[in-house]
Amino acid sequence: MLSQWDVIVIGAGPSGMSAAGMAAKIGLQVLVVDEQPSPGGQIYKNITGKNAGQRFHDDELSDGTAVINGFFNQENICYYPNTVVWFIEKGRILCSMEGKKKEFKGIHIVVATGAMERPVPFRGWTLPGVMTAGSADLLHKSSGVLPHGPVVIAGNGPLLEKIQMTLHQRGVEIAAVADMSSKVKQAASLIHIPKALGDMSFLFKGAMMKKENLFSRVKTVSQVTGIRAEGEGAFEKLVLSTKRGDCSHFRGKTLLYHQGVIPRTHITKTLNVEHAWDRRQRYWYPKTDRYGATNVSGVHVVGDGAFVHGAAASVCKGELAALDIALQMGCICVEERKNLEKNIRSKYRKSLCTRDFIDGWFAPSKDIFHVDDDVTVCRCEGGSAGDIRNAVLEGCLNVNDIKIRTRCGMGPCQGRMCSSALSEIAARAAGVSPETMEPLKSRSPIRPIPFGEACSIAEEPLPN
Amino acid sequence: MKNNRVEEFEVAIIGGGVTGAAVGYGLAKNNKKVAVLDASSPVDRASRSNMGLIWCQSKALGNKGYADFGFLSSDLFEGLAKQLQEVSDIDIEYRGVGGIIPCLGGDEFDSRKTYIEKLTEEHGGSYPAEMISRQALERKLPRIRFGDEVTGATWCEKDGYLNPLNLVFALRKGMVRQGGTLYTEKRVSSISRKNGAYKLIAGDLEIRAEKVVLAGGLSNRTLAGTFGLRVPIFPDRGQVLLTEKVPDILPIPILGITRTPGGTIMVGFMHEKVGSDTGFVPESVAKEGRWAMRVWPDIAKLRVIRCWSALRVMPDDSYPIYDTVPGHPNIFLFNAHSAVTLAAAHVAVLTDFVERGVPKKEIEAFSLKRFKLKQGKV
Amino acid sequence: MSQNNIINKAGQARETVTVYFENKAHEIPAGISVAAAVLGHFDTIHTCVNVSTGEKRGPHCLMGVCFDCMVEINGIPNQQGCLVMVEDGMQIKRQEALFGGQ
Repeated sequence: MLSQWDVIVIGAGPSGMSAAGMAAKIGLQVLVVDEQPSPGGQIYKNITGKNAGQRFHDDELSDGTAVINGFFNQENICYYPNTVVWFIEKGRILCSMEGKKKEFKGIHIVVATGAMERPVPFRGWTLPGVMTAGSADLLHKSSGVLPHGPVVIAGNGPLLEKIQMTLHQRGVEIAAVADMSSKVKQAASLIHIPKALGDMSFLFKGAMMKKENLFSRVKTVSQVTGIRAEGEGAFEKLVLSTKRGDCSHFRGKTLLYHQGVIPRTHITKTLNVEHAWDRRQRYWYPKTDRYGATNVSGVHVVGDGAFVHGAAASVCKGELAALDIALQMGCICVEERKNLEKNIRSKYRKSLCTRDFIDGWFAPSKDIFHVDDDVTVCRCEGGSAGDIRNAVLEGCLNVNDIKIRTRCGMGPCQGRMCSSALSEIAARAAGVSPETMEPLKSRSPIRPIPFGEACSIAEEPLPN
Repeated sequence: MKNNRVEEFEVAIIGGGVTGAAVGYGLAKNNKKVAVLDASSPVDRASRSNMGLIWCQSKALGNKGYADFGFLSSDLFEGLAKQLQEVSDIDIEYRGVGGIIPCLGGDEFDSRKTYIEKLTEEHGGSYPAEMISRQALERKLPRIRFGDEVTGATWCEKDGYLNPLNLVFALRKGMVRQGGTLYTEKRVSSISRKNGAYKLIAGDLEIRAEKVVLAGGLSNRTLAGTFGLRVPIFPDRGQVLLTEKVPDILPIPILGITRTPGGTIMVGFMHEKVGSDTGFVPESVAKEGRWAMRVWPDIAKLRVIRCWSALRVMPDDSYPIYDTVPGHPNIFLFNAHSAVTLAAAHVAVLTDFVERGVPKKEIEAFSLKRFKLKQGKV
Repeated sequence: MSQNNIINKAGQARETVTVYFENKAHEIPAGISVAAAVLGHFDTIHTCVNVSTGEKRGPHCLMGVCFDCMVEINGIPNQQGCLVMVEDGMQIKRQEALFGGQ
């Protein structure tokens, strides 16, 4: 073990692995830490486990395997799975490994913690049996477990089509699909089709998925504007209302909700990286240059955690950050970086061809957070939408003050599940745009850590 | 020339933390036209980042006036809590349950005992704190298994705790409901004299007031600096670990280990002089944690959910500052490091000071005169 | 948590492990998370009770951000089931009380 690494990569998903792989190829000493027991991030979760062929679609399996092989074939990479980073500052991290506190020093930090489902509150969303389309996808990919049917699917976003197809192929009964997408936004996104034609295979796959779903003849209700989940101690039925004014309900054992995917910004906010608000996607993301560098020197952000672009783009982003770090460390010169990045940039451009179209087609409505006062927003502490609005009326015009007033964001998840709603509901109550309100702050510990371990003296690195 | 919104008040209070809000509440209750302007910078978060303790014990050998002021405040809390609940519908969760300072080892017990004896002497033989044995401590907190080194504790019946965040919000809301005005996210960038009164500029807002109260915590340094006054306060950093919720196993606060009414355990008691750095240093906090584990070993198993680091407002001699700015009898300056403990007294006594322009006997000693400061030019 | 649980004494990767949920034995596939085991193999989807609201919760995000898949594993409370892999002999219980009991 080294006493200091050139690069510490947090997260072993596609962007983290490719950043590590490229950095190692150039000769940098790289440490990769990941809280999961095996590499792959969320998209390729447990792809190295048994029977991966039964759990992953063919194209994901081959893409994921390629990235992982590239990762494991490098020397100079020290990979620690089952390692939870709980403290981070420029130059070092503190982790929990097998119940022990460990310190790792590194000159550069690459944040590759990826993205998460957009957490959108609605009445009944805390019932057992309510999950997201993404979590059902993760569950099946990583363990082969399928959600209990009948399954009701609701929302707006690319993962809805995917999970509908997967469940149907696996024989899980789908009670209904409540489509909350907007025809207006879809129509508006069509102008991006010419650019999207640059990645025909991606478009083709999407079209095939859509066709398969249409032919499966699952009951679909379109233009759904409001949903609520009901049940005694567990999800039992979804009640929905549409733009047309009609209501219906569907019984099921599982509800899968989806409103798109957003970058995970907990670590970047803890590092005081500057963030920006994207109007179309309606999320905060860390500001990075074309190599993933942030306003904090020594910190790069890669993958979907920088902006949600998908796995192919994530691999490119990881490699570009590694090149930038190599340049900063003096291992390569500007000319070399230029040469090495040529291919990566063209792959990157291709991977982004369909982005404007997809992002436009599935763009979230600004009204999805416009829930009733008594709907729970903070899953950990129980704070409601009404609590947030009252806090604004009392003069709390800063989301961090609203947190103090309502306790939203003070529980174990530290705002991961409620900060999106906090920003949107507070901004609307204050009559301003969410981008004018500073987002919820984050601090260490990044994850809960046992008191005794947090207060122990960090172990010295063992000699090699 | 910008067209500023101009508002007029009898009193404008700069700072809506626990002290500013207490004075605002008191003045509004007495039908004064009052405004509070609040905009906390990262260094001004003392009211949001404290343990919520009402702590009177062991203060302060050699300053009976200060100790008495603390006890006075403690006695007023029950009444204030009821009042605030009625007027604001916010429960400040006041618990006048007493407070404990544990002793590790025989030497610590003995030196604490001597200290309490001296305090008792200074208070004419009657001081509301005493040493208790380990057995007595265990009887007071039967659901805590104390570490082997714990030999006993000091116990003071006048101590207690509350929810400090609710306290600030209740005082603010109480003030507004009684006719006061609250401006948030409005940082005062200048104070100047105008036609015998004062003009404050905060963004697009212009406030005219007869009297001004500087209750901006550490920002009082800049505010008072306008008038050439050096305020003898400095930032004193504390870092706190907060754990997951636990049942009601710690109904009496231990100095350094408190359970909030909601169930979170807070550990922290350090004082660090590190300038205005509110960074979190795991190694420092770990030291505090290791002390906590010596007192209560089971705490090791709880998970730390969050931490914060904040700056106390510490006067150079640790005692409060209640005075007017030299040359400006209508500009009041209030700073204290135990502003939560003293909040109930502040509502009564500081409001009175602002109204009459003269401090009550209890707080006369806390003027700036004791510092023998060199004044700059106005 | 090490990977040793899926290698048995013969040095071969195990197909299944035996775990106990609420004291009842279950033979389940090796290499999956405790949350996946709850959702797929224990006839329940309810893992814990929320300490602030008292509501029953179950796994929601499956990736460690929601903290609703909390279970007690081998006597240690508040483990996120989606981040812990099943191991042979593991004792899993619902997280229904605050630390230290009711």
